[in-house]
Amino acid sequence: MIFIAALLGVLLGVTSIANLLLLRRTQKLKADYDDLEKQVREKLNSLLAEATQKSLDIIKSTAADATQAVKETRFFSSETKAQFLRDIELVREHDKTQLAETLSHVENEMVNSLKQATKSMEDDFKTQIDGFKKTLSQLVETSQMQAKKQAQEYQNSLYTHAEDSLFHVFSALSKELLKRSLTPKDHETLILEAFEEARAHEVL
Amino acid sequence: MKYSDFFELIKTTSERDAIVLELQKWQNNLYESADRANNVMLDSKIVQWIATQPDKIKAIKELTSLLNEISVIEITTACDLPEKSLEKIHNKALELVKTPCILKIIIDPVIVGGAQITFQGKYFDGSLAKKSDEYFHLHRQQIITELKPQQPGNEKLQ
Repeated sequence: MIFIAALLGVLLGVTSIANLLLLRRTQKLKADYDDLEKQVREKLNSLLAEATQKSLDIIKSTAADATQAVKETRFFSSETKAQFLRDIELVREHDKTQLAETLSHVENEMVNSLKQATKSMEDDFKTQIDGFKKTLSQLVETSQMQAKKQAQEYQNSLYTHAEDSLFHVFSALSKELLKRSLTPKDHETLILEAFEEARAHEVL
Repeated sequence: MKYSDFFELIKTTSERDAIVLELQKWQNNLYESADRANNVMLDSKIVQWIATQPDKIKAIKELTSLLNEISVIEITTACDLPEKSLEKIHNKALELVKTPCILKIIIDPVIVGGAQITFQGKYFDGSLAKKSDEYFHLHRQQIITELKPQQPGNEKLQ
């Protein structure tokens, strides 16, 4: 029993160590993934902010210049000037919309790239974890098979030992009963037979 | 009467040793004092025979020597044997060996019954213990099967 307990203890220890290693590896991969995601998002935000600011500056500058030019000219009527300002405003709004669409498109593409990178990382992580799990499973299975085999051998030896003891007790008890059942006449007869057998075996 | 006729009176080594002791005592008495020369505990046939010999000391020496040289069959038995059984066994030994012989008996209850016999360096175990062991070992598996409790799930692992 002590032997089986020791075997199970060893098996439990191996399993625990393997699980601990798996946990540590998983934690490290998760941390790496989090760092990378954070860096990508920060860069993306930075790029978007910069692009937005630049575009707004250009639109603002262009609209201001055009408005100023229209306002200062003497060759257009007030209606024409007003129409021009409305047109300018429309153009500005249109540019704003286009800019927003462009920014949205860029953002989507970057998000998709991030998603692909994330998926690639996840796949890679999954492959590594699967491999590690498989190795761990094989290790545990091998340990279990060895432990089971040794336990069976130990159990068989116990059975053999128990059978030996049982047989020994039966043999001793039977002989004791036989001895008690013999009369002096029986003893005499058996001894005379032993002499005849000894003669047959050429001892006498 | 011949020397060999005395051997029929002696069945065991203990009897032989006792007679030899008495003969030596008689011999010593003959040397020391004629008055108590016959003051020995011996079978009357032996006493009568020696008494009729011209040289008693020589006769005692010869008889003692023959008794010491007599063949001995060592037998181990399970228990002490009654005189009648001892006589039958001794007669059987004489019949089989066909020369004068005596029995050296050792008691050992472990042999259960029968006898272990040693003669002239040869040994034969005709004990009941040996026969029992042989039978039990021959039928060991059957005995164990019958002794073991028949419960499901109690089978030996293969």
